[in-house]
Amino acid sequence: MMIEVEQHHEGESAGQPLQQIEEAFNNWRGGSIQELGALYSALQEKIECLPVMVRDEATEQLDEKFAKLTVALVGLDKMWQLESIEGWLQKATRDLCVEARERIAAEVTAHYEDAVAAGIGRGLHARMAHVCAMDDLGPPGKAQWKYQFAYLTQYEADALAKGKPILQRPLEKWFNCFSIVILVLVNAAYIFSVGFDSVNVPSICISLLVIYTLLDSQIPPRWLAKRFHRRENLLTLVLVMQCSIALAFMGTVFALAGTSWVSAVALGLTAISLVDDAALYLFYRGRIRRTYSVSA
Amino acid sequence: MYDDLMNLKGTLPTLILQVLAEEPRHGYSIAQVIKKRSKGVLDFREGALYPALHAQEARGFIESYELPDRGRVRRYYRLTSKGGKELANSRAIWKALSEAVDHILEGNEAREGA
Repeated sequence: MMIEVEQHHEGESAGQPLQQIEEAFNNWRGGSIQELGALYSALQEKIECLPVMVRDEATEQLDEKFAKLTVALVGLDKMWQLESIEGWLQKATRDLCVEARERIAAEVTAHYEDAVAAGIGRGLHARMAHVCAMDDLGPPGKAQWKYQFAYLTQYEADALAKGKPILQRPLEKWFNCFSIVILVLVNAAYIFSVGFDSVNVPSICISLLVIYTLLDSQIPPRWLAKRFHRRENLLTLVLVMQCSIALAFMGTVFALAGTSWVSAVALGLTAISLVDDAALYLFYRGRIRRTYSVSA
Repeated sequence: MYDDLMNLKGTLPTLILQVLAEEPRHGYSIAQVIKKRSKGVLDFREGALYPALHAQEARGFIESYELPDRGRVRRYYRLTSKGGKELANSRAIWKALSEAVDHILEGNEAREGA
């Protein structure tokens, strides 16, 4: 066996590979994945020949050398900051809704498995194939940034769920899109016909609430996907619905309670809700436009 | 040098449509075909491929379906007729753009040579 070692590593003593491994770790100060791959391949070569080279040594010394080698490999793992595919998915799909997380997990996991299999097929060690596959996927933070624009977050899914009782039947869904305009026109016609002094404001506002209650239905997923696949459309819809409901609520309370503290509280809460919705909408609208115009 | 290549507006979606125009593929296969045919120049982060695929699907340019593959279910993508029209349009735009850029670059080279 020693002859074989001498053939492969002429002029080296049994302790030299370990020394070289330690020196490689000590001297390495970062670099590209290709440099890491070269380092790992060099180490693999040393590791494979190590049992042959030290076979004639005492068992105790052999264990000591392998202990050192194990520590070295753990250190290499830390330097690579190896990420598991599960950890990558967890970071990349953070905040997304359940449906999006499941779909991305299924596709990316299959993608990762294919990449690892291809790497092993090219002769890479399994660990190196994993590193290459993860490197090809890229940083999970960047992927998460793109996923945020392509898929609904849980917050948005919840917001959309609030709007679900609005749009199901063809007539209702279009009626709701223009409900504010229709209601304003109806009320304007009513006020014009009876005169402003004779307007029964509470009955008008209560009628708005009744209309929304009557429109209690579900959004068909297919229609939702085709018509409202873009995030700004979804948020516009939700914003319009929330504003309509909030205005109706505000008007009702104001009209019924006059100028009492009840109406003041209702007005304050409604205003906060409207500002929050508007800010959310404007915030996402800007991000979406940038994303769609740059990379997707 | 080539880091920003895949950030050119519309590049990745067009490449996806072109690859899927030939045959239905899953995500990994699409990424490998693009990398292989560009000889490694268009080396993008594959994690970003799926949002782009989903965006194309949402626009109706491609559609997805699931197929069993080696004991697991994989999602395949294929081009729709709408996607075919979009691809033809994108190719025409890209051709016009690249010709225009070529003319400018060749003009610069000619001036530098003179």
